[in-house]
Formats: sequence, structure tokens, C-alpha cells
Amino acid sequence: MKILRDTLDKFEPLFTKGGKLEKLYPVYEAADTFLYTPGHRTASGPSVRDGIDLKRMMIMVVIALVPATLFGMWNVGFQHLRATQDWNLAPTAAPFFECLLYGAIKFIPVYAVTIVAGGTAEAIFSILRKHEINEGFLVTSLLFPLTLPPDIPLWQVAVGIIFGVVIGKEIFGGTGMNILNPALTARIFLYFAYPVDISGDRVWVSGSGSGEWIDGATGATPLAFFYSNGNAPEAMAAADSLSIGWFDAFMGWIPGSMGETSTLMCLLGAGILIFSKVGSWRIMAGCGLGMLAFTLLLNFVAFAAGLGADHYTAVSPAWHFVIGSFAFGSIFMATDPVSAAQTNTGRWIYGFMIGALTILVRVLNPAYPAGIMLAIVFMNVFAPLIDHYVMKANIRRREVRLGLQ
Amino acid sequence: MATIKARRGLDLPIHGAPSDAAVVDRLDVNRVALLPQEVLGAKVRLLAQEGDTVQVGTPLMCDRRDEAAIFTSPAAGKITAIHRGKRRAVLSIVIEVSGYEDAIPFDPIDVSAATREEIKASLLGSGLWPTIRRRPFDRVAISTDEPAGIVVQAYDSSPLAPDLTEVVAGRDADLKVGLAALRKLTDGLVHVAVKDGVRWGRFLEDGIQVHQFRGPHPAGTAGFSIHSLCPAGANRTVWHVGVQDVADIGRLLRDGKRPTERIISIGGPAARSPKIVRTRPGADLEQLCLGEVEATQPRFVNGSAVWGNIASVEDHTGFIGRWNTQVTLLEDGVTRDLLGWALPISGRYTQTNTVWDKFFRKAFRYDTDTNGSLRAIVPIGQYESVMPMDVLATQLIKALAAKDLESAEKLGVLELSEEDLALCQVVDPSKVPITDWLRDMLTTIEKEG
Repeated sequence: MKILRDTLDKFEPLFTKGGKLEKLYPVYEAADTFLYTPGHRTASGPSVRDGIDLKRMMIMVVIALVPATLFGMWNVGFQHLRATQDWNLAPTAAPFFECLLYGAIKFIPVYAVTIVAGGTAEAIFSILRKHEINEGFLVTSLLFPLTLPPDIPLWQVAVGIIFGVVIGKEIFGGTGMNILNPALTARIFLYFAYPVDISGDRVWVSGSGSGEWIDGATGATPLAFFYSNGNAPEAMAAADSLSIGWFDAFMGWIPGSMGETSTLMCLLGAGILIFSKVGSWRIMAGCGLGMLAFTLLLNFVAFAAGLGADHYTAVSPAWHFVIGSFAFGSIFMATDPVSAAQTNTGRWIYGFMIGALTILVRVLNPAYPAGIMLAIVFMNVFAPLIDHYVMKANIRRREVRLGLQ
Repeated sequence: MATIKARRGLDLPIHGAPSDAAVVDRLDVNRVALLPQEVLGAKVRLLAQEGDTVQVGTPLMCDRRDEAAIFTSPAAGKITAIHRGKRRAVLSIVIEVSGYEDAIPFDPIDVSAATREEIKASLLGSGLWPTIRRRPFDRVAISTDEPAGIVVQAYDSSPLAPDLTEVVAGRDADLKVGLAALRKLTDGLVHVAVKDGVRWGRFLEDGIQVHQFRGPHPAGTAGFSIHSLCPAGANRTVWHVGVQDVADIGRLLRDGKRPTERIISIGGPAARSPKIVRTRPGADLEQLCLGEVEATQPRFVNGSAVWGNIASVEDHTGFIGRWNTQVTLLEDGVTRDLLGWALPISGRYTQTNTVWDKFFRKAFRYDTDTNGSLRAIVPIGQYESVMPMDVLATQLIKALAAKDLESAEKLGVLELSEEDLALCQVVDPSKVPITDWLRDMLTTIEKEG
């Protein structure tokens, strides 16, 4: 391994100030510190430092996403098999590796395009703006493909991620300065720019366009089913319909985006994020509470207004928890530390509002069933305002203490 | 005696704590120095020159911002060097020691009968005044200050710090006089901050309160004590003094004896046998730590690993600092590890749970590696998790980064010093220079006043 170190050291003068490739220093720095710890000594301030750096922090989020990613790949294969061969195929009876392989063939190109297109945009900006290539892209580039349907055209993936990186992050000054979550910005861009390829009942299961589907197969998600049929879990679970029960939705073997369907895998990820202290449990808990509170309110309204137990507003919190991308969004997207609220009190409020808004958009706004996506971006914009009021309260307390008020 | 708890913070599991509380005499140091750069922002006026022979208590320098307070020689001997650095800033005034008996005489005063002005004059003239520091700005107390209160810090929760209660054990009479003198210097209260469980009821008097502190570091720091007991602000000055210095003040006023000894701890991962020593104020660290260092490339830290300053022999600052009660020895030779960021076991401690050594190791051999490179701030709540004060750490640090004077002031920058934000910098994944920003901001505010 000495050779590797020596090689890196040999090329360093090319990239440092005065070198021929001085402009490409961010690229060299990224490679150099990816391979080796930077080996910097503390020069001022505390002499010792914590063992965490941004690389380790971001890789932790990536690790937390691994269960959802692997499960998502399998599920893409499973849904495809179900739609093309046997609508009543049990998940445990499906050929495991065949499903995984099919899913990998669908997922990996999307992921690769994201990395190449987004990574290039990131590198160009780093070179132009003379800052380091930031590790945050590791997370963005994995989050984004997981929110996409399996058959998404690859050019759309490239356009989407470039939009996300540039408009969502770099024009604000790069990681740490962005107002919106870049992965979500990319996703929303695709949602509004190319709705045909990213919404409706047909896109969520691979192979819909090729006419391979058997009779009775549908790509409808439980969220869409509830939306058009009201609170009818029994009808949805019937064999001639979606044949999806609560447990199926919780486990995630249902049609949906490539990595978002499994609440269980998202919870596993949440466990990793909370245990490692990288993700904010306050935001996650806030989302859950907000969702619960607003759903119960709607349930009560349905009951009080006599809308009937089969009305859409009567869908229980337990169902809202497992359908759509609620879990994925509140665990991985809402907790993006930069675009979220940055005070502890603010994090609770921010999370609660996301949970509540998600249900508001889902249930009361007929045009956009994908509530969580819009709720998070909306609250991203409002996060600084929340922090502003938390700060004002803190400033007031200080003035009172000092006897200024 | 109320107990005040720090709800957040971090006790660094650093290797190298003294195994024995017994104090070892190391009075054989024959070179001591004054470090003018410790006096933040000082405009030094030298009162003695290289080659001068000095007694204990001979004025060596003063700060032109407040010339009443003089800085005196801690030993008798000869000034062998006055080292200067960038822009001719005086780095150290080095004295070759000949002894400690030859001292400028000081007439004891009866503190209970003395007026505030008399006590002030004795402290200013004796050179003990600079043991008192003030917030805001965390600089030496100004002789015209009217402090709203005085905090006596008798508990240091910094990693590897000595037990200050033990350090002043047996000096009750000195402490009583010292506290009584401080009592006369303020219209407010004198707050004594002790560790939870320490019974110091005997020092309670009218105007003197004792408070117990518990919880993780920074439970026992002047910043946290001031924040919880007697907040400082733009128009509210609060003084703080270390308990050993209070005892020294008491001894001077009672017996007329100038302080010539200081108890400190020598510890850290690079210390061969960590111990508590009784040594001389301003002692040369190279002499003091001779044979104690176990490192390929040692670093002396004046203070704790968390907030201490680098004491470097090459920069002529390798001497014990004025307010210090500890010296930390660290390994300064840093290696570059292959794929170091990816391994779950790396021999390093982290306050997050991203490196797992902490689950099976109790103490860590910290070195001076930053463990990462400089990045933009990504606030995952790391600052808040070590900030026990009612200060919004992330917002304050961002205001410091943006040089936003107005917001920083509103968010409480004036009550803070480097020591209070040091822990935030320790746990920071983005490795941003928080304490440097803090000092820049404080300097700017003080200038624009």
C-alpha cells in the first residue's frame, strides 16, 4: 500500500497551487482523502478532536439506506414477476435471486446514471467555486434513485439529478448552504416536468409498457387505491383486486418506487440513524406525531360529519404509516440536517408539520397523492422561519436574564 | 447550597489520568517565564529589560489598555530572554531562577477593616490582579470594572484536571481571607462553584454562596458557572477567579507572602506517569516534564486537551500558563491511514456511535489528528449535544462564521470564551475553526464597543 501513498504524493504537486492541474485540486483532494485519512494536525483550538468526519457521517446514512435498497431491488423483481406470471404469487414463494437480479438490472443503471451525471455537475461546481467535493452527494445520489419508478427513462434520471444538484444545492453555495433537499428537488422536478413517467397506476411495476402483464394485474399502489375507493382495506386485500393487506404494505412487497415501499426496512434504517446519532430522532418522532394527530383529526371529522367509515378521511393512522412514502420520507428525506430546522425545538415543530401536511395533501388535495414529498419541500422552505422564532425566544430569555427587559 | 446540573456535555475518555492523588514536589525548576500573549489582546509595555536582575514581585510588564494592573515576576533571578514573535509581539519573558526568598516586601492588610480601594490597590500593585478575569471578552479584569458578581471556580471538570478541592486542601484560612477580599470588590455576590458532594459550608458567609455542580464537562467551568449563577452581558461584567488563585490572594493579604508555588496535574496519553505536582508558577515545561514524555513527537498543551493552548518550545511558549492547573501531553506525530473513514473500528473515540471502539474501550490514546478535513457545517445536532447553557450553539456558530456581529451578540457571544465552545469544536464533523471565529468576533465587538 506504500506504492499507492507514494503515487498520490508524487502527483500532489501537479494539483497544488502553481501546478499544471491546479484547477482540478478538488478532484485530487476528493480522491486523496477518500483513500487516506487527511492526517492534518490540530493547529488552533482544541488539541484533540472527535473521530467523526463528514465522510463517516454520510457513509452512515448510506449504510442506513442499504436495507431499503436491497429490499427495493428484490421487490422490483417480485412485482414484475407477480404482474407477468402469477398475480397471487406469495412473496416467500418467489425465486429470491431471480427477483433480486431483475431488480438490480433495473436499479443499477439508474444509480449509475445518477452518480455520473450528478457527480459531474458536483465536480464542475467544486472546481469553479473552488471548494471541496462534498460527501453529501453520496447520500443524495442514493436517495434519488430509490424514489423513482423502475422503468424511468435514464435521460430523465440524468436531467433530474443535474437539476437537483444545481438548483437544489449548488446555486445556494453547495452543501451546508442549501435550502431544499437536493434529492427531493430532483424528484419533484421530474414529477412536475414528466408526470407521465412518474405517476399513475402503470409506472410502479416494471414492464407495463411492453404488454407482458397478465389479466387482472394492476400497478396501482395502496395509496392510489384508497384515494379512489375510500377506506376499503378489505376490498383492497381481496384476491381479485390488489390483494394487499396491512402486513404486506408494512413489509413492502407492494408496487411503488424502487426503494420506498418497505416500512420495515425504513424503520431498520431509522434504527441505524438514531443509534449512530447521525439522524435526528426529533424530526422522525415529530413526523410520526404530526401524522398521527392530523389523521386522528380527520378520522374524527369523518365520524362527526357522518361521512361514513368507508370515506377516504376515515383511513386509519396505521394505514397512513405504511402506504405511500411516509416512512421513507420522514426517516431519510425530512432528516437532511441542512435543509431541516436546526434548533432542537425547531426540529420537533418541523417534523410535526411535515407529518400533518403530508396527510393534509394526501387526503384533502385530490391532485397530489404523493403528500410527503411536497410536505417536506414546503417545510424546507419554512425551516428557517421556525428557527427564527426559536431564536427570538432564546434571545428574549437572555435579555430577561440580563435585566434588559 | 443548590445543586446545578449540566444536562448536556461530554467527558472525553482520554487516557493518562493521574493514578495517585498525592502531590509530588517538583520545585527544582530553574527557568520560569511570563507569557504576555495569554492576556488576550494585550498591548505589552515592558517594565524590565533583558539582563535585569529581578526579585519575586518585581514588575515585568503591564498592559497599556489598563496600566494600573502590573504583571510581576514569579521568581527571583535574572531575565535571560525576552522572546518576540510576529509584529514584535512579546511571546515570553524568561527568567533564570536564583531563588524564591528574595522578594519585594508586602505589608499584610486586615481585610475585614480594609476598604474596597485598599484591597484593589494591594492586588493591582502586587501583581495578583491578573489572576482575576472578566466576562464579557474573557480578558484580565479591568481595574475600573464594577462586577455584578464574582465566581470562584473550585471545580474543574476538564478531562484530566486535578481535583481543585484537594489542591487547596489545608488552605482554609487563606481561602477565607481571599473570599472576604473578593466580597469587598463587588456589590453583588461571590459565588463559589464546587463539585457535587463537596461540603464547603464553612465558607458560607453573608454575600458568599457555595453552589454544587454536577454532570459532564463543562459542568465545572467558569463559563457554565457564570451562565447559571450570574449571567454576563454587554453592560454586565462578571469576574471569575480560580480557587488556587483565591487562596494565593488570601495568603498575600494575610501574611504578605507572594505565591511561589502552584499545584498542577501533568497527564495525557503521552505522559509516562501522570501525576499531580507542586511546582513553580510559569515553570518551564521542558524541565518539568523531563523524562515524563512518551511520544515520537510530543505536544505540550497548556491546559486541558479540550481547551488548552499549544505550548511550544520552538515558539518559546513552553511554560505553564498563569491560570492553568493542568498540562496535557499528546502525541503530535500523525499518520495517514488507508480508508480510515470506512472502518467501524479505528482506535478513536467519537461522541456519535459511528465508530465502535467506545463500546469496548474505556480510555483512548488521543493524538492531535483532526480526524477529517475541513467542510461546510452540516448541523446534525452535535453542537447542541455538548452545550449545557441556554445558548443556541448551531445558530451562534453560524453567526460567528458569517461574522454577523449583531446576531452573535444577541445569541449570547458575550458571555462565552474559547473554553465554552471548545467542546463544540471537538465534536464537530466539519472541523471548522469555531474558537478562532469566536475570538475574532469578541475582538471585533470589543473594538467597535
